[in-house]
Amino acid sequence: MSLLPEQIRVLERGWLSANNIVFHEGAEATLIDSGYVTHADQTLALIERALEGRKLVRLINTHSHSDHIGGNAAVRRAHGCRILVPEGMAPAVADWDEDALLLSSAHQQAEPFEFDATIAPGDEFEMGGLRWQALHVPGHDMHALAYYAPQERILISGDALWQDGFGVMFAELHGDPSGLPAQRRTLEMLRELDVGVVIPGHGAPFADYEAAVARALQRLAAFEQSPERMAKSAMKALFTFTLLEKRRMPRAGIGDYFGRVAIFRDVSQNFFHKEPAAVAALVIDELLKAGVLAEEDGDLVSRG
Amino acid sequence: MSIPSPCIDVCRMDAQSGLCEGCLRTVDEIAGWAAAPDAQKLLILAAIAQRRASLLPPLQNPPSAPLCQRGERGDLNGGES
Repeated sequence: MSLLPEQIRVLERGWLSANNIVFHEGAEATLIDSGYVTHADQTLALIERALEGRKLVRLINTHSHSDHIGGNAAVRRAHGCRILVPEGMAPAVADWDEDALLLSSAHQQAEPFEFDATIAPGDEFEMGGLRWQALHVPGHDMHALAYYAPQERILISGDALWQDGFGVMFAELHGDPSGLPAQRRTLEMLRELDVGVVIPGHGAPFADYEAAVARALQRLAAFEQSPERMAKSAMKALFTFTLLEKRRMPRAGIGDYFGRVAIFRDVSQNFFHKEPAAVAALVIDELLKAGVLAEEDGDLVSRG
Repeated sequence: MSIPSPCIDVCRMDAQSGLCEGCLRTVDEIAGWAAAPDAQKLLILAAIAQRRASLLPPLQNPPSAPLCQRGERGDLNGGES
């Protein structure tokens, strides 16, 4: 589907790496988001292909999570481009605060990088020859920005809105009750926008905007009614992500793993009021039944 | 609903084959996926199935671990697409 103008090249990735978007700007180009650190070599190869001989001069992030910033350092090494980050995530990056970046607490990796400038909510800038507005879309990440081209009706939504849902509510999981209300304000703000195409952080670009916002609001309402449902959904998503990175983990060790990694441990206690091992068993059972994971020789393996 | 991407989050290019070790696509096929028309996506999926078949050693020879994983994951993708 050619939903997008010629100068916008979407590199659709999976879940461990977020999508990368390359904007042609004459002889130069801008990139949005850089994928997971362990995928950096492929990310560089894909960017090279999408640049078609142009010089990459700018890398802009939507938010600070490992699947969006993991390749920043490698991209800068390869291209010497400037890096711009949402203003709210700047202190955590500057101090390389692995807790604030949700790296240590979720047992994820990223390579430290330096940035040159920040983008604030409300800022306007040119990208790919189009005019974009930075919109504050807190919820999944309290400092996240989406980028909106009102003239061409294109929304780069990051993980605030997908075709079917949105990213996990990290603030809530870490005990900050402002996450869900923020996500509601974000979706209600997005609902008012005139959008023809969304380039999400994960999944293919899509056009059925109103339906996607309605689905997201429905899911949010379910989470608002049942924090435990939100927590279970998040545990499943986070453990699936973990296994995509590790590829294979001994099933017998997952209970201990949930006890060691802060986000699994804290959510087990705060939302399920159970031992981490009991929550691990529940999560694994549901993921196996759903066919997201498989068991081979005592190991859990990702089924992609 | 659009044709789902065959990406399984391995995302590592094999220098010898020029294919991703996970989804068995070339750099061009991955980079062009999002903008490709459905007919082209189906051709890429068919090419992946052929590559997988040619990469798998005969059944009587136990495959090496990475190839074994490729085959099993590939079958699952085939079932989904």
